[in-house]
Amino acid sequence: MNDHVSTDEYPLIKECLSGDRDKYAVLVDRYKTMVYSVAYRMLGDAEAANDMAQESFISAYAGLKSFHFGSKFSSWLYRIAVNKCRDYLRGKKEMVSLDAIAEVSACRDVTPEEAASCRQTEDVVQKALNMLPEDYREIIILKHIEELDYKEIAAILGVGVNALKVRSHRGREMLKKILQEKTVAAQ
Amino acid sequence: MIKDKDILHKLLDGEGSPEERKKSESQVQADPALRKEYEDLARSLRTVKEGGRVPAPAFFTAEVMSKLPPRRVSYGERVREFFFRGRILRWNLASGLAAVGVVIITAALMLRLYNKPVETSSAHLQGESVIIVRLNFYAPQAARVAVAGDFNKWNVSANILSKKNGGIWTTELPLKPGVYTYMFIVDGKTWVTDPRAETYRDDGFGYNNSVLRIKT
Repeated sequence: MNDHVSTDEYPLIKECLSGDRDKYAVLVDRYKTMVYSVAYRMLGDAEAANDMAQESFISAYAGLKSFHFGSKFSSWLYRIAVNKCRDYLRGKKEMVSLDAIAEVSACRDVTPEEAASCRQTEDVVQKALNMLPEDYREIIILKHIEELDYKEIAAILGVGVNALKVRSHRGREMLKKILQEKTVAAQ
Repeated sequence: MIKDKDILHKLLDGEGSPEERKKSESQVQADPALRKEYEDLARSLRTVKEGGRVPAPAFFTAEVMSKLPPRRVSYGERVREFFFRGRILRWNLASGLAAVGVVIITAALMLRLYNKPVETSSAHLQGESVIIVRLNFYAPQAARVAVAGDFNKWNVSANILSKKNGGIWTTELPLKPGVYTYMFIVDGKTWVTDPRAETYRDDGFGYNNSVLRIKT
């Protein structure tokens, strides 16, 4: 999904900067799936993801003047979206972790029939991501869903490549453990 | 063991020269515990990858556009605005050569600045104080866009927009001077505030109606 390397959005950004708002709709349309998806995977909540994704685009519009031509627009948007999600999680920290616990146990203490339907509807990936610490979740999403390379992720998160790799390795180990437990619990 | 795990992650990331990778691969193959570890890791990453991206809700773009801060009006636009509104005033007072002159000049300007169809001007001349307002709405994925407002008694099928190039929907409404509230209805069910509206007004249901002001 690393397909926005081109700079063909530069003219669009320039037109937005000169006051043509309709051109911004083209940019939003082009990047909405990317931004919304990152927010959804980070927050595990469709409503919050919609809010944060919308806010990301509104902030990006307001700060478009500070976009550095020569860099990737997608990276810049990723950074804004990740920061919005971090802010949201910081504000909701306690509530989110309680929700996560409630959701995880919801599929365990039920009758076999209920458990079967529970398994069908539950998004295993999202539940596993919800259980990861925030910084591990970020790297797993950017590396394995958005399929970015370490260099680009380093630029987005403002972390060195080596530190990022350590984080990624630990995140993967933890993810593996969570998914294994989930499979065992589902059997 | 930590060093062995490093090998696994390097393999997962496809790092190292082909020779190094080959060496690591045979090392993993030779050790059952290491091989299981690698397979488990690879499987969990595959699961995440298959989960993939999540599509954004319908009308996401329109909602973002309706929430953008109001734009600053440039000097050039103010000049255009002056002519646009000035024209209506002149026609109301149209009673002499001077006024005709203004009409000709402003009509020429309008044609250049807005690329407006000529029949628009004739509509102006028929109903003295009726002017044609063009509404544009960006919704590339929509199958049908209508506009409802107090000018058509909020009838959702009275004014259907037609689709132009680039996902823009457009319609022209003959309106008398006044203040109107309206909203777009996408695919017959979703009500969307016009992101380009001059101002907004709370509709009492948690949404903002777009406000259109036509001065005399």
